[in-house]
Amino acid sequence: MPKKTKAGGGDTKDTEVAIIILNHDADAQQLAKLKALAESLAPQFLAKIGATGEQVEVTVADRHCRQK
Amino acid sequence: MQVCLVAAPIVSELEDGPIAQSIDLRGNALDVPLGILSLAAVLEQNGFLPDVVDLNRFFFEYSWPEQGSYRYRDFCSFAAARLAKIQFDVIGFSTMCSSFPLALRLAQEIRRTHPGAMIVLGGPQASVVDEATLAAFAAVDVIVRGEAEVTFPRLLRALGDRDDLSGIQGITYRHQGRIVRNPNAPVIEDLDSLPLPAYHLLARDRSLCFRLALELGRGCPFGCTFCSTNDFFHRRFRLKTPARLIQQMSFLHQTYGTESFDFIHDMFTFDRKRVVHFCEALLQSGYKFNWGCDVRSDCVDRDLLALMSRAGCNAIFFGIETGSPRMQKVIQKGLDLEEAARMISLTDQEGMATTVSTIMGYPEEEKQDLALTVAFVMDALRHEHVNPQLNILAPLAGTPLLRRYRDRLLFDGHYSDMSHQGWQQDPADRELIRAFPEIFPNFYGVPCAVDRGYLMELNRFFMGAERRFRWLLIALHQETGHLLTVFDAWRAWRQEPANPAKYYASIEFSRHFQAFLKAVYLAKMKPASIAVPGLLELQEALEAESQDDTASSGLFEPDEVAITSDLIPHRAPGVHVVRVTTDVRAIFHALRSKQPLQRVVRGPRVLAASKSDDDRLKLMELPRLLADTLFLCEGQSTVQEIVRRFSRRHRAVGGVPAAQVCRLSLEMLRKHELVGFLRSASSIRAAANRGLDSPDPVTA
Repeated sequence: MPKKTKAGGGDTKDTEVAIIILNHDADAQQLAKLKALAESLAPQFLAKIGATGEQVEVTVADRHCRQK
Repeated sequence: MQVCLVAAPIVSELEDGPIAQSIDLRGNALDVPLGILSLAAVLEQNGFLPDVVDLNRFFFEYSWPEQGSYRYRDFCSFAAARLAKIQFDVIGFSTMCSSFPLALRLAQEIRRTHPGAMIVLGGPQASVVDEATLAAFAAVDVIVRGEAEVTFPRLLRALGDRDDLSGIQGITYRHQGRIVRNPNAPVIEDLDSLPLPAYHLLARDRSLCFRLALELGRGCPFGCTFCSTNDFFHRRFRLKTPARLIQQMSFLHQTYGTESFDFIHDMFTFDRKRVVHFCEALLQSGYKFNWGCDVRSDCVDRDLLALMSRAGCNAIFFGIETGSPRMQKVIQKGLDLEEAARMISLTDQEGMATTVSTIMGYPEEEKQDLALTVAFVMDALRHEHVNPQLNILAPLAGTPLLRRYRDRLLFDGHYSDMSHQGWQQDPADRELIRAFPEIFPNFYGVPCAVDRGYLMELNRFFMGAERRFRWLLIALHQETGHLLTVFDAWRAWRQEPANPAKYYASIEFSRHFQAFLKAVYLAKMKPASIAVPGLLELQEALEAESQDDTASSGLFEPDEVAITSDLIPHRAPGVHVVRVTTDVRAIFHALRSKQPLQRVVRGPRVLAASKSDDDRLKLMELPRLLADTLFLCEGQSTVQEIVRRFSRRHRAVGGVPAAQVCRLSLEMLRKHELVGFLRSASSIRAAANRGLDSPDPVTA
């Protein structure tokens, strides 16, 4: 699946794209309903949380070595 | 004259291959070795054709078993064997503290394989331990101190002409059985006069050139007591001009496709006007590069950060060093910590990756100073883009700190992890380190009021715990008044690990810590809110879910393809969906804004976690209808079947028929990368029979 960078609720572009895909010839009232629905369906970003794998990386990539 | 330049390795101490090849370390190790490449470019201007060797790359070849490299006893033998195949008259090693023992062992091997070659050391470590190194290691002939772009070509010409070396500034060498230290060479004032580093000498996969290191300038004018660059660059602040920098960025973009730059300078924003000039020039250039840099929190402000962000800055490193105002004065850093916290917050608001680096284990540091540092880092963690560092002090050669404590160095098995010093230092390295503390002081410790074993474990605990359950740590810190209270209780409860570094990186630690929280924290310490149980429930659910990852790894239909009735929705790889009983969103809100956690209430929630670019999980709360749709995507049913099932369970929503709600939900799930769509085998066969690429879109 192609990578995307944005996540989170209330993404207007997402809802509009979804509406267009769903209903090309919907009237204004139908579109408003769909848009409201799409917004209510959007997942809400909460936070970035830790990894759950067997081993996590405890090294840091951005270590500023003052001798580097 | 044949010259070979060898870049200092940063990962070779890590005899644990899988860890050495972790994403973070590989990212660092695959950085271009700028020092050597800058020198190589100058040599090319002077008519030499140097060979360039990057020992990090040797290490990755060595550590991959499929390469058959394990026949070598150790990495030093492997690297020496590889170097033995190269012809040279002069070999120059760039050196840094963490790999200096290896560099010297390699020099000894080279003396054996190339008895006639001149062995020269340079770089930050050799520069400050020059006389002691020459006295102890007969294999080394000359040490070039400080910036070498002027000195090294002069040295080569003198060696080629068999001239006397006494007139070459900035070198230390042997002469008639004595060690001679010539006066320092001046720093290079006009950095624009230097050629672009010889990136072309290291054949690189083009994909690795997407982000490249580029030197902005040199020299930090401040005088922090623990820092070694004071000596190396003589505290002389210099920057390349904006025109020169943009020209170099443009060249790298055109030549290698580089889009992103790690700007190398210890203190880029010292001269605000010049930073503004650079950012404005970059904006006017029309390029859309991303870049990261190092700054002091008292050398940026709201407007400057906003301008830097507009000009493409997406990562900032703040060296905070200590959260104690008293220690800020002792180490002569002198930051206003309230201002520092504000700048971190502003940087985070700009959406920039924000590294907040601190150090513990200063000789003058008391437990209350340590507590302030931990508290500072914990508060910084409340910002989404902050990456914390809680490092252990390394007494670096050439620093005021070492000059003061050189007679009280400790070799107690607890050493700093600075520069990725490994979990298992090579025994031969350890012998050298023990024999020559004046040459390898960074592997030693200095006496401090807080037990050094405690600090080491705190470092491992914090880094491991932050990577696994950052928000749980913040909740514990907020609820108990200080994370150290919890850490002390944990230490009293846990069994001492044989290998703390490995243990705290493992899932075993995570499980033990959760057991500790239930047995001690929840049972005896009586938390005032349901935040910790709520986050524990989330952690457990995610870990259990990650053990049972049944998501499809097939090739999904592209996003552009319409969702047709015969497609089969699958949960995307790496996506975990869990049910919890607490309002987790309220917990995150309270922790971010430092609001009381007692307001958090119970309530069923469905959450989805998916892998983000930085090895963490992106946690989202799913509205009920979306969650219901996702649970129907079990990887067996077609869209049509799912729509039918959904429609049986749900009525119209807000005047939209249930079937349409379901289809919209599927679209949302795809857009948020929670679900992908595979074609069923029958659909592929039918399409082939009809000569069609894609069946008709589903209709409601």
